[in-house]
Amino acid sequence: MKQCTERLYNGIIKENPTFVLMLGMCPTLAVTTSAINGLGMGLSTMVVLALSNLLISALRKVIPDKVRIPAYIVIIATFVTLVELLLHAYIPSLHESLGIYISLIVVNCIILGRAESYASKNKILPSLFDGIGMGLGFTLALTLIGLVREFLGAGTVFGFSGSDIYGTPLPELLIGLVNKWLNPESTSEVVRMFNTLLTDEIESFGPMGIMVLAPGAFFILAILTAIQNVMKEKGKKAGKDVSKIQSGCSSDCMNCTDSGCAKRLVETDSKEEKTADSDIKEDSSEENRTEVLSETEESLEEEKEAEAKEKLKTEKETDLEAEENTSEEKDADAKAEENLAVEDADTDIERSLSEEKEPEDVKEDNLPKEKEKKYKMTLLEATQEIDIVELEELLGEEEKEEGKADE
Amino acid sequence: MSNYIVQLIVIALGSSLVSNVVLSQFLGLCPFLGVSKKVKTAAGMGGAVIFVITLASLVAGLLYEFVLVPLDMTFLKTIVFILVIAALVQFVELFLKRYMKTLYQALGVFLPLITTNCAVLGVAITNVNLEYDLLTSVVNGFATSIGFAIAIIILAGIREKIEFNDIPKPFQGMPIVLVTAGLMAIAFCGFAGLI
Repeated sequence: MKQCTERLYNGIIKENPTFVLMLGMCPTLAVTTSAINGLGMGLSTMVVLALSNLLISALRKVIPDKVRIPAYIVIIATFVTLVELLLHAYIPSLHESLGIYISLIVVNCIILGRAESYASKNKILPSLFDGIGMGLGFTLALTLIGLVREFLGAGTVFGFSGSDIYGTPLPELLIGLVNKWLNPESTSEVVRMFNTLLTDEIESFGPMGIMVLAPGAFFILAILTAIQNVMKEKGKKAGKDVSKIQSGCSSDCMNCTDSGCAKRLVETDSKEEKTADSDIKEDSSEENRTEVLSETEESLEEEKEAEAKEKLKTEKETDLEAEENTSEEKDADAKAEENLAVEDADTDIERSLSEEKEPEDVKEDNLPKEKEKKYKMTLLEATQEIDIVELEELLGEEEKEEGKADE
Repeated sequence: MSNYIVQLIVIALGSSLVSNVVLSQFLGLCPFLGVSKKVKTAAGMGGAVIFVITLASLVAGLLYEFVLVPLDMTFLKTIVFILVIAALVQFVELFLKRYMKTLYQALGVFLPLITTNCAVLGVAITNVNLEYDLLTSVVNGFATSIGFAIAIIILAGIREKIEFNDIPKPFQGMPIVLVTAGLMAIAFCGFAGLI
């Protein structure tokens, strides 16, 4: 029993699928135009999640390991079809407003994710409660987001506008209450300013229609993720384990488990890095420079490539978990950017050097060839020095970053 | 006949621009946010999505019209579609690997990522719900995926630029991308006047 309540708490607060794990964002954004829709979607998802968890947990010893994903999908799709037919029969208005998103519960990564990571390894009762807890967390999140969007976008709460009973729209009522609470007779300058601000607002009140349209959903999610970033940062400082926050896979709803896309994404990224390197090489060889310079540049780039490969190796070694994967991926990207930036800087320096060189070349045309060679050598050394200094800086920064990541 | 063609064009415009699959229907959000760091990758992803969605809407349409409707089992559409699409993508991947190397090199890595992306299933179900015939279904699927490709390539272009911007710390990373997507969605709202 203790385990069951722990599962509920885990699903609603600790690993809330929307606010903490950021899973299943497609329905979250699409159906939260009103609180009622959010509630309906959340409850439908909860039913599917709980029942599929129950059945998958019951069948966990029957389903062969190799075909488990298709089997899970069939189970989930069955329950989704059931829920859809029931909604169509008994709550047609909700069925209409949710539209295809009911069918799309099938591809909601929360469900397959829970099946894979919890229900397939645990007993029936905890799995059922895990499903209910996660579903309640999802419902809560969708209802809250829907509430905010509906209030800002249409000025209503659960479809209740306030003007039917009180004669004034809800936002005005709320402002009036705040006004009263702040005590208009107060002598405080701040309160008076706030009051005049609010009364001005009342006269020009109009709902922000954009919040119930598609862009509003993106903005709400942006604010949510920003809050999450802040919380993560604070958690890190306080020494808490924040690895769970935002660990949802950002590529495919169905492959979000540890063996899924995260690994593949890292691989594709590394391939891209290599191609990017070769592109830069081609660019640099095309530019008009002395052969010696381009040769040294190439050797330097080879060094860098070797370094990049080493980094990739170390990354692949630490590829153990999907969460780590994503963080490493970010690291890899950051590194790639740094590499690019440094290379840009290098080419800039070389360009400026070659520009400096050109007028001097004209003067030195008369001089013997040996002097020219010496000049070139000094130039080379200078560029190499700069490169080495910059490389060292780069390495230092990376080490720092890795240290942070390790922390 | 000309009426039919006009209808096709209206559907194509509608599903590629007006009700864009990502920016107004929120389908396929995961690859839209996840694989849009570079234009090159985004274009590859867009290509793979065009390929898969067009093919999937054709196969799903065929199955629905010639198997599910005659057998009176249309209520099984969700189960059938998702399994068929997943199997189809695996099969296509194997086929490309074996017979069309160049296409596989361009799209191969992205195919497993969209095996059962919600956009693919979403288009198949929309086609059935709106009772489109086979040709209309394919056109709708193609246009929808074109809309996806447009959106993801534009987002990738913007993301390449904003990498170097000075962004407030809490908004670094995903939040600023979402704000960008929101602004893009506002822009795409402007297409509503097209039809």
